[in-house]
Amino acid sequence: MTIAPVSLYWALALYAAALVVLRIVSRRLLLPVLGAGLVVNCLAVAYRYSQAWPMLPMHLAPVLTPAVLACLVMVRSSVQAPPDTRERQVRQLALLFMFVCLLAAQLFPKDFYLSFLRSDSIFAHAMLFAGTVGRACFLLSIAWSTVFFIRSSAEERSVCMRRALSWAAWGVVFWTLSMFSGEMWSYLGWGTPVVWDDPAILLMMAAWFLYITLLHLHFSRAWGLRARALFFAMGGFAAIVLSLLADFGPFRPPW
Amino acid sequence: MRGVSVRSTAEILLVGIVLLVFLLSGCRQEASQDSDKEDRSGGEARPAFLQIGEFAVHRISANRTEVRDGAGRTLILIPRGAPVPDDCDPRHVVRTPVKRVAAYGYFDVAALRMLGVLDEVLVGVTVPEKEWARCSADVARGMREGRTAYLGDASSIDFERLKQMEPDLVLTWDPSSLPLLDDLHIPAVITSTPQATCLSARMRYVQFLAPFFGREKEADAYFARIDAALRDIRARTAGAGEQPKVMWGDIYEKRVMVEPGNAWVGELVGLAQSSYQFEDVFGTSCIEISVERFLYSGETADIFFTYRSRESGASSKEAIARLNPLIKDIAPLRSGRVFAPQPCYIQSMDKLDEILTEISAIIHPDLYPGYMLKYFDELPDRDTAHDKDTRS
Amino acid sequence: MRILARFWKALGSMNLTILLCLLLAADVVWGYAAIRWRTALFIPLNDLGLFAWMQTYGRHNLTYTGWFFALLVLLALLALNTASCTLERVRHVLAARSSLSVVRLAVKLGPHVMHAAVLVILLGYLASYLYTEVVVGTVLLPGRSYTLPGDAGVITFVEFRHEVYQGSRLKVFQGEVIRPEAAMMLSAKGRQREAILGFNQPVRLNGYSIHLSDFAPKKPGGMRLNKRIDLHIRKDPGVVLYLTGIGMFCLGLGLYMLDWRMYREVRQ
Repeated sequence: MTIAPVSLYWALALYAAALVVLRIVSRRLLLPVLGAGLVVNCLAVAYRYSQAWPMLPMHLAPVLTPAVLACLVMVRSSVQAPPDTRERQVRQLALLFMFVCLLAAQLFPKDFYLSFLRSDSIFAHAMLFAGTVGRACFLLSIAWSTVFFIRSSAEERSVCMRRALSWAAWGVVFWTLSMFSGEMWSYLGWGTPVVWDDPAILLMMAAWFLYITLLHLHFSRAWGLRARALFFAMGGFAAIVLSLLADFGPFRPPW
Repeated sequence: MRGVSVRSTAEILLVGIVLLVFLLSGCRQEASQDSDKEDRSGGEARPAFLQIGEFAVHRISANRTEVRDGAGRTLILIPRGAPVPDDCDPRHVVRTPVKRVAAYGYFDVAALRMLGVLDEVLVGVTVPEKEWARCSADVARGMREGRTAYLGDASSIDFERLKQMEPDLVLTWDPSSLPLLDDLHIPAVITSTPQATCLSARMRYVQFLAPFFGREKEADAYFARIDAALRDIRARTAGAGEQPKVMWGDIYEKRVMVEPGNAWVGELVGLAQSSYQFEDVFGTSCIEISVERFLYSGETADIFFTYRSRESGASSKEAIARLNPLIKDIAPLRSGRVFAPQPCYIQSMDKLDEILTEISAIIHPDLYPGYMLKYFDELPDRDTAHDKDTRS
Repeated sequence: MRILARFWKALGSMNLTILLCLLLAADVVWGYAAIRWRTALFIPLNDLGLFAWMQTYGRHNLTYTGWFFALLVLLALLALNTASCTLERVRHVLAARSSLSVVRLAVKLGPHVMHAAVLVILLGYLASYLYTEVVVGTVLLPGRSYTLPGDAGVITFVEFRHEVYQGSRLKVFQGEVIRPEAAMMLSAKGRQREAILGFNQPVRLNGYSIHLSDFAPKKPGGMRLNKRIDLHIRKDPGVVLYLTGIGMFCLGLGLYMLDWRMYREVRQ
């Protein structure tokens, strides 16, 4: 059995364990368990890269996104003072997102395409990584806007929205850098920044427009806080689903 | 600055919608006007623009038709005697009707047969006479009579011989011949495409070639024939209880190639109430995928169509397993059915209706009682004594 | 004039921005489905001009291409919206510049630089799709030359200088070309220079960019195909614009992030 299929199931188990640890057992065990899950997840990514380098592994985003999200959670956990309830709830949601994303990657794999020669470009790799970091930021934004509805005090909700906005803004930064990298790659490789053979670029644009909408909703204050939080959560979720749609294949049961 | 009132926003939106409606209605109006443009032949109404997969035909006027070939090149068809417009590159001008054609591929030769012009126009092929003799007697006869020349293998064309045959047009899948054909001032059409040909494009390919010969009626008749066959397949298989799982491809050394879901075979399998195992795969014909995916799809497949013919080693399931030990355990080789193309399959694309019907009959044999295979062979479990003798 | 001024001001509404972005998101999702269903309709957009495509593929297949026309309208409205909003806000910022330091003024202009960059990028795309000169289907054999349109220069394919994969990690590519490179000789105005053409390594000559579209054979010495390179040649006036727009956007982003970090506490 190859390393990749084994490691993804282990990563799934460890992310689920981290969620249980955070909720029930002991918060102090979160970092080691999550770290173990991250290591295993990274092994799976490394395996896919080893099968493709210097070319780009195809449709790697659903496997890479949980790893990047785990990194962000771990970095936040390690630099921050003991987390408050809000932060813990956000981490729980982030762990849930990691688990669901990786599970979907296992059940709907699209790992059968061979890498193509033209993907041997620094801009192609930058597009993948920047886009994944952006997506991970969006997921944290969704988590914060979801926690908004769990918290009851106005001050806490205000903090949740500020954090959601902050993560959404970072997500837009990296998402935009990803799109620019993709355009550079496309221009160098095909002569035009948008190649209409592959419609996946349109889903990236859809996610970008949705998040630009979210940011402008915040700046315009046209909607109230609650409505904006709902839009952050639902609109963000739609953006994530759209951005990953092209990377999933048909249902493949593991049995 | 806060946002302006919602009313102003609505006004702007209304302006945008009105603009869009004008744009679209203008397009529709022009489209309906263009669809009334007359064809050169017989004065019948023909669409001004026809898209056939990655090919296209754009009738600009009675004296000018532009076509787009598989490589995205534009050729301009000008009737004989009509002046060549100044904006045309002479290398891309084709005088119609075309009277002399050299064709690289079996499918293009079959297309000429579909249009009823093969005997008149075919002057060069890239396959020797003995390969045509069994399945394409008309081509073999033309070669014997000296009307059609063997130009050499496609990778090493005898351009001197080609020049002697004086073709008006070359139908080729090989872009490397373009520079040399340009030197000889012979226009060429690239007949291969980056993406696999879908079912509609496969049926309509003759409608792309028809303007070259002024045979639009024949092309339409051919399309109608194929369409009728498809409707028959749909009708027969509509009530089919079982949905067999079909795969189409093969493994060569370490390369796995399959027909993608967007190819005509993938679409036909779906249309015939069955499940194509590579329906989600998108790309060129003979697309390469991972071994793991091929084997996974093979675990549950009922029918396997291999690219190889008997002559290239697909004489039995046992032979295929011996050639490709990796796939020896896939379900069709263990307990299902395996089919290999007969030699005439590749030369019989003018009988696409029969081929489509045969594929449907293979998938649902109970719906086609007494059907005799003409284009595919069902492979036995083991080699016959004859096959073993042939191999040794 | 008052009506025009009112109309122009209304065009800058942020509510309109929100609505347009939502419509654009929905429209491009429709476009994704349309391209997945009928990819062949949209491939010619890569080399035909915008009008040529609209008049042929576009208008004769509106069920699948209608989203693209809607996209053009929505992007046009978004451009007007962005221009109106940005101009108005920059006017306000500049009006208050006497009370701001240079640094503070620069970071306050950050978001507006980003918005201006969007306009420049959209303009670049428009120029690209309207005015690009494209030559498709150019094939060169070793030793063969091609003269660019208008005698802009001559490109000659000298030889292949591929990198062939010799390792064992990528089994499918063993013994095959993994990094295609073609040595080219570029001649113009009496001067010659050598250049290497690769898949993501175009060469430029007198405003034309030459891109490697395909090559053969993929396995040196092993296949029956003749040596050739397929080229995609473009003269695109929009390149400078959208690359500039990308640069401007990154600059504006940097200024905005600076504003966020430096003045976040004050604002909050």
